[in-house]
Amino acid sequence: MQKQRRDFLKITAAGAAGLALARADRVFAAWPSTGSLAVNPNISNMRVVACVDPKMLTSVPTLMNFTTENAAVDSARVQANMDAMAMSLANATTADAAWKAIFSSSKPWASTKVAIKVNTIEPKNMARVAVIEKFCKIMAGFGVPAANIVIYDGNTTYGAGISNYNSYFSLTDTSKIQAVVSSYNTGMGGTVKANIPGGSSANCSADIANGVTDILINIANNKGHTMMGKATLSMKNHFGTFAPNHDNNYVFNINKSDAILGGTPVRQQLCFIDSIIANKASNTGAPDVAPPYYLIMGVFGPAVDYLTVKKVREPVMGATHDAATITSYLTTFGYAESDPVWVVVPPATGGTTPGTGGASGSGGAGSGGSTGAGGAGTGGTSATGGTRTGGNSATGGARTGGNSATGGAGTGGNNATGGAATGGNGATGGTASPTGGAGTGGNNATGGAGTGGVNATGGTRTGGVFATGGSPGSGVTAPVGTGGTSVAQASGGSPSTGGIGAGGSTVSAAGGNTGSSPTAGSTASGDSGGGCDIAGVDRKTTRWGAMLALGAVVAGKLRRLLSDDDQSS
Amino acid sequence: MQVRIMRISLAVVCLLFGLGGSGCGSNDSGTGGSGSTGGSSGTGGGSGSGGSGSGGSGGGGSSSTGGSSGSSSTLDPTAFGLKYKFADNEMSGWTADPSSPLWTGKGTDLEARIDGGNMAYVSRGCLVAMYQDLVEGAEAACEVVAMDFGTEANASAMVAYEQQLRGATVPIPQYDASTAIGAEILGGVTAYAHFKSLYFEVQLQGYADQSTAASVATQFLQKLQAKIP
Repeated sequence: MQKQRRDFLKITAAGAAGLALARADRVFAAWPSTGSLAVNPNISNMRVVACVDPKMLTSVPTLMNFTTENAAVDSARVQANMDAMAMSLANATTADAAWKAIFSSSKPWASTKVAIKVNTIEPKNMARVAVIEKFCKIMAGFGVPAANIVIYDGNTTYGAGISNYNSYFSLTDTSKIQAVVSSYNTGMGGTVKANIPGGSSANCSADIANGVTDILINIANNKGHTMMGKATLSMKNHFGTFAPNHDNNYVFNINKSDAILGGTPVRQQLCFIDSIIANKASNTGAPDVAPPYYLIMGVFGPAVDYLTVKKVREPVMGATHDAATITSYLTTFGYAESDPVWVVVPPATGGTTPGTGGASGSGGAGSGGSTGAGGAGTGGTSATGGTRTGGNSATGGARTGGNSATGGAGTGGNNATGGAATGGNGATGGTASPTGGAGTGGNNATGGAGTGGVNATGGTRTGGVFATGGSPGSGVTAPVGTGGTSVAQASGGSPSTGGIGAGGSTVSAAGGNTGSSPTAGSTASGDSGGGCDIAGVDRKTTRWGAMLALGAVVAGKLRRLLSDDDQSS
Repeated sequence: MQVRIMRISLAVVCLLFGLGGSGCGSNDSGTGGSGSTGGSSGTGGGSGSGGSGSGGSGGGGSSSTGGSSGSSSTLDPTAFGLKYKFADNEMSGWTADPSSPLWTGKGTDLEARIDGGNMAYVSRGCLVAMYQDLVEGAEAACEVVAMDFGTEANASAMVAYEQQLRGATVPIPQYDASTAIGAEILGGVTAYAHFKSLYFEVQLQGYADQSTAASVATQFLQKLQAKIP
């Protein structure tokens, strides 16, 4: 634990001057002779995160080969688990933020080069395609061109197995994973002699040795071996970056080299062990133990390897090792056995089988937790997917969301947005922003055929207070906005022609703006809201009418009286 | 019936006659006899691998318990492979896996085939080896490893090592455990066996039933044993 807090960069004066020369330039710094080198300034070298999830395999093939193993992998589930692990490793609240904390480049992403080291000596246990695919997606998301993502195993003696990946990757076929599979070191610039701490040198993949590669991702498998204390993991995975030499000190030294740990930022930024399937006793042959179903990762290979031995190979797989050699995984780099921290994250569900999501579930038809993503999943907060049911901020095609739900036919809570969304307050529906569709919203609901609460806006909406009718109506029965119960100025249709605006119960009800026949008038007043001063629309007599009528009668009588007087004189 | 694929790789050494210094047979003192033919080839006595064998100190001369043919040609990995590899359908329904070519080599070449796993074999006296992968249809596979360790004791020690390393306890029908024993793997079994100075591994996959895999291993071992002179 204390070692974590002591992790810091110690550089000689010459090295410091080199660093000062422009951080965009590469500064090759091997593991220091004293102290340590923080691979990632924000993530402890000693932090190792794991996830164990049997459902990453849909079945266990009886015939183990590259094809059958990869066919049995639930890719979405694997990749969701990797997101959850990243969030734990980086202490981030979203997968996106986590991966951005783990990986960095001194160059624009568009010119960054990424190399992914795999172990291909035994096709019956190689890094699963789903794992590699995830890293390719991450890099593509950053903006790294596919041609700059190279998968390699440069071991000329037994690196031929990499050809198994060829059918899954392509730069031209968009149905395949966009990346380059290098035949030996052809995609890595060939080989050059690289210095190794201790005074020796060895052939090394040129792009690694020369710093052309900016980010190195180490994907190892979990296998037994006769050396390295009877295990071959991340550190030994660099046989194929460097030429092999079956001497333990050689393995440690290449993992201290400029090639591996040089660069600013440090070149090897993540060590990942695909232990979904494992070999217990040897590094070749069919898997000889039940699948452990583990994924393991950290920024520092020695810590990842040590904890894989102590937490998976021994207690789970029943393997035995040379204890002293395993201890030297750490002590060679100046750490103690008490320093590494092992964190196990629960599986993030969401894959192809509906489940219950954890912190960042993602997958096809999964149920996600806070950030579930998938095809038909049920998500919690910020669920994203096709036909999902989300909690707050759910996004998806036919989703039912809570607050701020967004979706095609989603049912949202407040601020629901969607074609046929039923939302709570502020619901917005339809394909045409901000109105359209058939949304049902609560307050401020906006939608084509929405039913809104207060201030509902839409085509044929039924709103509460201040409901506003939709598209222009015509004829006698223009769209009718039905006002609330105590509205002062309910407006029906805009502009309605001959429309009949039914006013509220108080005066000044206006029926239509440009009334014609029948005459609606614009300023009808009175109970009937008619528009004629003599008789209302309903032909009921007004007071003025009554007075005129009376006047007419009186006038008639006076005329007769005056006519009778003239005749008597 | 599930169609299964077997891969068999064989490594056989004509050590008996070529290893005058190591003595693949029970003759602890003889240096001549027909073994001198092998000795003069340098593969046995001359070469470090023969001379340092953990077997008897004498030449294996006329003993028949060591190498298979007594001629230096069987120390040749290519000849060794030709002798012990399975032809297509030699085991009914089993053919060579086209994705994995036959591999043969001396013990000192094993690193190129199996990386650091070579030391387990080389340190126990492996002189020549062959790996062959076979398939039976699309559902089963078999890898056969054949090696000549120069002496019966070396070959037996190799089986004992594998048995201990892998916790092998699966019976191989018609063989007692000191001659052949199986270790469980996913979808099958790996049988470890020795006959004279020859050591074999038969790794079978694609079987839902382990005992069935073990029975098939017996059939392969019987075929291999019949190839030994």
